[in-house]
Amino acid sequence: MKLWKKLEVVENPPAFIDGEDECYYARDYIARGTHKDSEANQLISNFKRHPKFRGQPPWRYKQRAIDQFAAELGGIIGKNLSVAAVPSSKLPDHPEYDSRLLDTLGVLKRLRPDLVIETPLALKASTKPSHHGGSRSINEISFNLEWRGLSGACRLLILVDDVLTSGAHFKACKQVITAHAPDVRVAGIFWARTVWPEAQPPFEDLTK
Amino acid sequence: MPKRINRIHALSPLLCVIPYGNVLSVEHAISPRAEMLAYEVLLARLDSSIKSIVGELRSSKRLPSEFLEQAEGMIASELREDVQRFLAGKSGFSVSIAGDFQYPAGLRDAPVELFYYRGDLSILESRCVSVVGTREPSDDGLARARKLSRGLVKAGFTIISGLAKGIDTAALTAAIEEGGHVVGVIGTPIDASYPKENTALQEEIARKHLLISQVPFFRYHREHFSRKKFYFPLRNETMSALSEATIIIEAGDTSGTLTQARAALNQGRKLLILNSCFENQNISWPARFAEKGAIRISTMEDILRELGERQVPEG
Repeated sequence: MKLWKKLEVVENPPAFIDGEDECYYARDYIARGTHKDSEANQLISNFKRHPKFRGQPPWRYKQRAIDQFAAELGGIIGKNLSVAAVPSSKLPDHPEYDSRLLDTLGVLKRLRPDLVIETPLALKASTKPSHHGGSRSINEISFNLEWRGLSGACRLLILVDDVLTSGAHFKACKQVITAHAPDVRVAGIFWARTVWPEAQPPFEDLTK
Repeated sequence: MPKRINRIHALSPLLCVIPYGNVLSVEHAISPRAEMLAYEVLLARLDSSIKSIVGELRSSKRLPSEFLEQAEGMIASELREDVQRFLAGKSGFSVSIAGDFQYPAGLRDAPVELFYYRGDLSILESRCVSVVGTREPSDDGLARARKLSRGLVKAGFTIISGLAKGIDTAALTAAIEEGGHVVGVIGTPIDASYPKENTALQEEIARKHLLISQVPFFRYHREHFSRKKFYFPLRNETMSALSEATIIIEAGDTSGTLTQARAALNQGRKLLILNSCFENQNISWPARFAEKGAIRISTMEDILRELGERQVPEG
């Protein structure tokens, strides 16, 4: 079983993530990657394959990515915990609706029947995904989320998403959940965190 | 309760990085900062060698935090506190540890269980070749380093080198100019550079490629000046382990480059030595290494053949 990492020592902490947040990730996803064939970039691009490919041969890569993500999540999440997906950017009746995260939790539930899958949040209206120019404002995102409640008592809710980029979606979800269920601790688990090598601040040379 | 996280927590208040409330959540997740602190504490005693400590840690199959907990009592609490204080302000890099998703498999052949990096770690998933040599090369040596580096990039290889002056710098610079990927592996902590004139190159590599250091901050800081040079041969073992082959462009009989030659053979990697080294009457090491399995190469075609490439790229 490979080790996941807690997000703490990072070159550039995601813009909206702070010391109060508890996030875990497995891999580095390189934004505008120099090495586009990396395992992480391939997994994520397969996982995010557009719904228009549904039923076509490339779809099997998406299904494989879903199965792998679920299997890897199954290795990190503690027993009997509650798990939820960060809502998709589209409503289910939208042609571009992508159920990849819910599908992942479906596979996870088969692998780990002890887990409780929750759907505490629903989208009010379809939006652009953030990687296609959608909002990264926490307030805008949270205004578009509807609280649906939790099915049972839960002290810790694990929010699952594929890539942690700015952290805006995680923060918006956390904000809505804690507004309605203040006793619930929210942690995020991401398949990858985005790394932006170009944007790093330069080091001062300490040997001078 | 997950054993692993519990153990990290058990180090509190020394390694008080995970608040108590977070302990219940995940299994098989580590705190990179807690592991870094534990690793640095384990390596902090100057009277024990890095290789032997890393060897013990590796054979224990434990995380540094777990191993440190076992060693409780053998390491003075003052030392632990010193390390923690020294590392408190360190940030701006990432930590990779044996067992995480992107830890390079090749490193099992080098005495490293945790390293620091900046940049794109996935570059190590590509085919990597070390191009190394003396810090005081001839003009021909420099030209050869540049030519080979460019040729390897054209053939799709990533160039690994040590950011020393001379051959290392020439190989890395040529590869970058050719639009290739490079990995710089340094023999100083990741927030320092040596030599000074390569600071800008090191920064460029960290931002656009990959920069790696296995050097523990605290131990390096405490080490006497005259002993800091011993981190460079360790770095060479790492470079070799990360590469499928090491190419030596030019080196004297006492060059540190020969550490990498030995490491490559010990680790079962290909060791390729330029023909011009064999023709140099003033040195004896090429013949010695050839007897042990090093391969004499004259042309780019020779190199690519040894690397299993059938076609030589044009240009």
